[in-house]
Amino acid sequence: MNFDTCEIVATVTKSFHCANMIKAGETLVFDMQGRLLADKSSANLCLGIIAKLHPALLMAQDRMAEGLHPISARYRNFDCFDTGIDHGGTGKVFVDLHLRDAATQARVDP
Amino acid sequence: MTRPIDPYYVQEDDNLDEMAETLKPALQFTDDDLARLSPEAKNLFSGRRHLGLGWLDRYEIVVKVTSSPGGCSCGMREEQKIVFDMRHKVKADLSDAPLCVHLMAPVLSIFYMTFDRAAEGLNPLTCIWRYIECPMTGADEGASKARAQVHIRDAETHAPVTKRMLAERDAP
Repeated sequence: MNFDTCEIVATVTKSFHCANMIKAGETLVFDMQGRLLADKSSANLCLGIIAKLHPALLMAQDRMAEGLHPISARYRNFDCFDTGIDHGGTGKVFVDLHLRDAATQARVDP
Repeated sequence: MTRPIDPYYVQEDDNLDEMAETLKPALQFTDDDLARLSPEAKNLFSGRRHLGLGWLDRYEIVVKVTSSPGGCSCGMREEQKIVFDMRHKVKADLSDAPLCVHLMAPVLSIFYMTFDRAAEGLNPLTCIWRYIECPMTGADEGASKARAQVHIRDAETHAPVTKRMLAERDAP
């Protein structure tokens, strides 16, 4: 499969005390170059979680260059930079990454 | 044993009462949550105390591309910009650059400084770290990478905010 025609979707699995009011089930969508697609995303575009995904977007490009599925099975769950209320911070957002076909929106699993 | 805290900062028994009714619905906090926030997290919210309750809505951070001579696979072009609110959310409707995560990721550090500086009563934008660049160096030793400058502006007038001290009250 040509992964260039895919998108990376970060789906919020859990959130609490998030100042940007991100909620479970919302998504952030990226193209394979690492661009955030605002019009396809349903979550507020918080840099606190977006920046945390930067290594995953770089890894996706590395895996594509090796002919591998862009989403690593080991690095697909991320949380935002805020440490949360129980650990000196305020809130927390957790996401799970998956790949989808940009045209059909169908999930593309390994 | 607790360490003494400078009186300018939020004390452990200070539960931010004057802003509690704003914070509780915005962050799904209970009174108990407010009480158990760390002093450091309370300082995060104390920017409202120093710069005014509405400071987060008063300003915007603008990342303006200063050069992108070619080779940027995300399509960044000179003069394009990405605009953020002060809660570090992208304002896509005010941005005309591709929302490149490679270029945006370094901006988070600048935002952490904005909260730190607001807690000190200062202009939220760092006086030092105002230039960012794409982390992709390339074989041309970075010659073609996108570079950008960061500034803070009034959200309503879009006028740059250059004053150093924005505190609405003096330090005790």
